[in-house]
Amino acid sequence: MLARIDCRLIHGQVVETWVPHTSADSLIVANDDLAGNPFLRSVMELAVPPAIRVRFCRLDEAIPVLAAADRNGERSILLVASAGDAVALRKAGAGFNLLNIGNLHFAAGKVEISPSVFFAPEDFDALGWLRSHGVTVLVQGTPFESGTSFDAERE
Amino acid sequence: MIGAVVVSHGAFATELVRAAGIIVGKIEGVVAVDISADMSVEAIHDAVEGAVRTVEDGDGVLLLTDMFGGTPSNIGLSFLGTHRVVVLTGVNLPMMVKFPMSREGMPLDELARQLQECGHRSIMIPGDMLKKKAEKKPEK
Repeated sequence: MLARIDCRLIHGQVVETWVPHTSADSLIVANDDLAGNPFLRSVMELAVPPAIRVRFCRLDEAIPVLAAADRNGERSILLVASAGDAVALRKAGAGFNLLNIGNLHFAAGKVEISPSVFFAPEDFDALGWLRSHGVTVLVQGTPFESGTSFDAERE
Repeated sequence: MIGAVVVSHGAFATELVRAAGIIVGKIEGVVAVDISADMSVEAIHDAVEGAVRTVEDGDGVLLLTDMFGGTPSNIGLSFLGTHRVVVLTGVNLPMMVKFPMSREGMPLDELARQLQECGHRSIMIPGDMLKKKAEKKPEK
């Protein structure tokens, strides 16, 4: 399973590059805002090819959803919108060891890591926690870019 | 590898390639030719020919033009007899994104047909799709 932090969740990069690259047949979006917004969910789902199963869930519902996908033998991509959400899922027991960071938008006080990824101080802390718990974190917008480990970027 | 030359009125070609690059990363083997109003037919022809030569490596070249019947398309068609090209008109962003994802191991003609299909399918009115979906399956 590929886990990805992307503030845009399902969008062109994911559907056009990561899905074919990983031969994924399921997308799991763990996001509290979307889980409570059926309209935005259907809009996001429209752009996904019909062969790909899409599930939306709240962060605290994600573990059983991941387990169900796993039992079905699905090749899943797990999408979360922030580093904090990734930490919450890992703490709850989500079994990803590779975490890909695609998009984290700019805001005042954030540090530029790549043209599409900006870290706030709490992102460094969250990703540091993940790294110390055995997760390899790579900043990688599309599969064709070589991933940059955020540790090197920090220095 | 199949190459592509995108030819357009104004800077659409350059910006289309740039936009696709944001989604799928930098696309290899693509050159954009922007046509401005002051260019002669010869100058446009030379620019397109130079671009074709740049991206041609034996597998052929797609000439993606902005509009059937427009100058980029008409001049593109003049290469049909002399170069291994297929002209595909009305290029849009979904086609541009699909191009690098689909060209591996595919013959030029087949790639052109797939991109044509992709371009057709990508034009929709999502609001209508949402309405239909809501009628079929009311939200629990």
